[in-house]
Amino acid sequence: MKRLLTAVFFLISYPISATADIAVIVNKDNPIESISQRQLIDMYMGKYVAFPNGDMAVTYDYEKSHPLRGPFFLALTGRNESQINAYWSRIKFSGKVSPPQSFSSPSTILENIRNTPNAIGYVPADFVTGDVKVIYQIND
Amino acid sequence: MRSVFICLLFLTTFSYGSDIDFSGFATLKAVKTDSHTAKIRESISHPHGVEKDELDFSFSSLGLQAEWHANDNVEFVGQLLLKEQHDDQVNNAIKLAFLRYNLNSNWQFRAGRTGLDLFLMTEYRDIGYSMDMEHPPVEFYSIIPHQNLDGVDLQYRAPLDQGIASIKAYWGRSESPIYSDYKFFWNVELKSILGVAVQYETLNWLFRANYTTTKAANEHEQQKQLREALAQVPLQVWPTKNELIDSLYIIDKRFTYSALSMRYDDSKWLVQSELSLTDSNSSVLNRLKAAYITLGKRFDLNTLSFTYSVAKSDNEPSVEPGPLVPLPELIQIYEAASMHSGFYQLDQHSTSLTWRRELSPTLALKFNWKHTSADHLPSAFYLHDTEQFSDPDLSFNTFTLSFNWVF
Repeated sequence: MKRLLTAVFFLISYPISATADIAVIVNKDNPIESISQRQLIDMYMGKYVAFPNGDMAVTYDYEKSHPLRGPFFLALTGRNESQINAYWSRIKFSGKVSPPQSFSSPSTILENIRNTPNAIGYVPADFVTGDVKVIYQIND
Repeated sequence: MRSVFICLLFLTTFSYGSDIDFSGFATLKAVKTDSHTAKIRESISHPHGVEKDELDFSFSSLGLQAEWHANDNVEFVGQLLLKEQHDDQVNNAIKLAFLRYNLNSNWQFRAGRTGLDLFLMTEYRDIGYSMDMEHPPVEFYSIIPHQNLDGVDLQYRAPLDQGIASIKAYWGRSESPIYSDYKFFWNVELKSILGVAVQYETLNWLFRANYTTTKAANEHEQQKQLREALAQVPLQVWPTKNELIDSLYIIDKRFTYSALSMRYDDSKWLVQSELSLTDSNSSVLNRLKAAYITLGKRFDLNTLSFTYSVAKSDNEPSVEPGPLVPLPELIQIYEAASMHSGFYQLDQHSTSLTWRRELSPTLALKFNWKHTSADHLPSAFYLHDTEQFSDPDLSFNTFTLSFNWVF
């Protein structure tokens, strides 16, 4: 209940800025300490969805048009959200790879990463708590 | 396959608490042409062609997809594509219905109905939003109507220093309709499809090679009747009849498809090209070569792209010379045999210009102008105004306006 209240609090009070620093996070028990930009691109573009040690990953993303999604992919790949959506419509509707699971808010991603050992997601940097691990940071 | 899809829908509908994803894509498309002979279509599986002075919306479509994630390794995917078609509507509408099993991050196995992985754009050529060009080039994409494989595939993927390399092998069968003039319809069945696709991909580059072989599993009733009728004709009256009979027998004839593809996309510039060779040990289809290149430039929300595409076969009309005695019955056989043996006699090229405008991150508007020069008509690419065969227009324009949406 406390976590739910925390999540609701964040949802109401946190104004998501399109220019905030973004932290890429994993479960605290994940042995990975860092990840390269290329490995992150491979994971979020569905090319090779695994951590650097070869373990399969579960990628978390936001629903289409969430304010954090465009800046994240632009910083990571140099492509705007329309290009990313076109790319994923190629991958998804061809049945090659499942797209990342999508969530409506950073708090739900944070909550799910706490509970999923092989998950990876991204949240505003000042959203990060001590019970997840930051493995990559995108600075504004 | 229908039962597989119904099972999939059942599973996705009743799997409470599981992770189910529903999504889709839609295209609203208007097409206009100035050709008075060729009725424009995007594939030889289209039953309808757009005539001169007609504003046509029949290439519009709606796709719906359901994915059920049973666990981290197992998923079921089903996709329905609703568009104009005349025959076996449910079976043809099922584009995907397969189980995907990710053994680990390197190996993936799929079983059921998947995309038939012949082309770079095989599995998304119906999804207008996914590409900058208005539609896949007709000269390259429209001659093979088969888009799906009922079978299995196995893929191995490995990260290398700069990119991801993969190899995929697939096996199965496929069927698809072919429509032609005079209300000709044939549901073409391919069996023993065996193929391999090798790919190397970085963020901006993609290289791909494909080799696929298959056999024809059925023939059109008209071909059988023609062979039987030709068998009755004395050799002195029609000296080439035996070659013609042989060319009209297609069952178990082997067809091969080889292709090389590349794509470069750095978010501002786009270059995409494919080369293919389709061949068979039947005289119906001899060395059909096809290629295209697309060059595109993005300006903020706008993309301009130019495409040149070409198709040429080595087919010669095996029906010539016809019967030496011009009896009406023989002329009728001659005309029907001409249509069959000349179906893949192709030689044409086209240039096209597409303007794409992003209206939102999920909605795009595209306008395309295409100029086609054909060596001769009739052509398998089109349906025809058969009354104009004596005066074909070998150079014509096509205009297309479309809205593409993903949801």
